[in-house]
Amino acid sequence: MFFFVVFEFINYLISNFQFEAVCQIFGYAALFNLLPGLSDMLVKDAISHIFLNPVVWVYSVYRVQRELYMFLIQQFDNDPRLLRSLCRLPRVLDIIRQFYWDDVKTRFAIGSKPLLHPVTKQVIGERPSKDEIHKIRLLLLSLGEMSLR
Amino acid sequence: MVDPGLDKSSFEATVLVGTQLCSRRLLQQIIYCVGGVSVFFPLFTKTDLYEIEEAKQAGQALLTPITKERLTAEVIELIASVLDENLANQQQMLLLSGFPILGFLLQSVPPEQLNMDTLSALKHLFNVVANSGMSHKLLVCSFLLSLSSLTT
Repeated sequence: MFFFVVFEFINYLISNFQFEAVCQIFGYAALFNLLPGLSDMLVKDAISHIFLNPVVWVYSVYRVQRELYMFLIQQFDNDPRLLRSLCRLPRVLDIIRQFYWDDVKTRFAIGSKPLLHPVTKQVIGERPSKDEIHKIRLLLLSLGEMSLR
Repeated sequence: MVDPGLDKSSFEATVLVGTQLCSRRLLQQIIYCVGGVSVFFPLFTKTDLYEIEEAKQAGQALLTPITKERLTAEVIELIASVLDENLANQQQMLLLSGFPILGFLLQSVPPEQLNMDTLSALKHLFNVVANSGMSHKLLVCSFLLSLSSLTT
């Protein structure tokens, strides 16, 4: 609806030969970060598909996962707009329930069995220990807390 | 080869005997010829093959060989260097859903490859993508504003 009104307005301006006004409006919009830029879209893609995608990271060692979530907290702290669009509290709770659980019995738990090599059947990845999972969970919860502020 | 319709005398030169003509391009600028940044993606699935190569070339290595633990990190660094300050490649990365594909490929990378090196390479890639926006945005808004002042 909002965009419809905006485009109606632009249409009116163009049809009345006020091209310079249109340029000015878009120029100032770009200046004040109102138009989504290429880099904004790429950043969103990168966070939602790589950094905030625990399917990738669940079997990596604790040090890496801690560093990953510290990095995310830092990024969301720098740009709260990202937090609002990508990482609300429900998402955080969902990630904890699926990947950083304490109780294996939940239906949605991922990572309950160690990761085996498809051919040799050797163990190639395991979830961090219970203590370490607990620490990661605290990091994630602080991320969730940030989104409530 | 000279086009008869054009007078090229102003920039023509005689090539002396023994001159070697060559021109250089940055990989970043011509990677589109072979399909753009996505040509590096299959490298993520080749970590198992690397062992064999390493064993074969161990004796005659001229450059210091990349260790297996750094392999994924090196591929990510390669992608970052292609995207660095290059809007065309970044646009292609967005249009072909580069990051979703990358995320999917990383899911099947063995966990020992997802180490600190890989994470810092990913952080670098993130910074490359995040920081290029500012100069582009300033360019767009200065262009639009100058256009508006031109017409008034």
